[in-house]
Amino acid sequence: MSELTMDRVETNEGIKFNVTGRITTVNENFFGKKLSDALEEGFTHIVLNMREVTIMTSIGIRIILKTYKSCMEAGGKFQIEDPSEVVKNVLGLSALQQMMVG
Amino acid sequence: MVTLNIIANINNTGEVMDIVDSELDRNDFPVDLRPEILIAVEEAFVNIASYAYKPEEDGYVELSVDVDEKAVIRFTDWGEPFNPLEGNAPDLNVPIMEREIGGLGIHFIKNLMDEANYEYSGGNNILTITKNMTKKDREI
Repeated sequence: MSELTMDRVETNEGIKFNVTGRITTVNENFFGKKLSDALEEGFTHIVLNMREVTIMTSIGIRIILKTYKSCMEAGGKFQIEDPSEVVKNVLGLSALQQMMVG
Repeated sequence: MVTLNIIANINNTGEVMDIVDSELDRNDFPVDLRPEILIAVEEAFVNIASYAYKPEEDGYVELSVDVDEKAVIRFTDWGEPFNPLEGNAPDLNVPIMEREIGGLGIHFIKNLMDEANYEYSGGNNILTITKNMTKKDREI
């Protein structure tokens, strides 16, 4: 029940991940590595489509915040597109609503 | 109701979430309330697994899940007395670029559940978190 997938799509502006499943301690390494790999490849404009994310705990917020900072420090952009209700809820509780688009 | 002992190790977080999820499912607890419960369960278990025992100890947590018109999840450990609910709330007014990375777990528990209570009794740390069905859910 803890499966997480991140389909990767390169766009004109940068890179987008279509994320599905749960973002928890169980798969934090997978989630974090996908994003850190994208940064290491030089992508500084990262979009996460989180429509199909069913659970996100504070470890997900921690990784998102770290990635956001890296993108901004590099003069790029980090956005969360089409968040599920669960994602909206935890981003709201974390006062990170401004990352959301769509 | 289900009660079991599990080693307080972060690697067991998925199993703990699956046990709670199964019990919610078995009792037809409203689907829309389950994600909030599971998030709070992860935060609570990870907190205990991280802080209740010394790293070299294989301490246990007793997990108890009781579901009817509310879901009551109780974590009991035998580590040092520690009330996780007393920690400072994160400062969410700080600009994002200056924000600390971390410290949100207990904040989530307090805000996603209807009740969160801690007691220390007979050498046990007992953390109980509760989610109530809504009135609308009870009428279905």
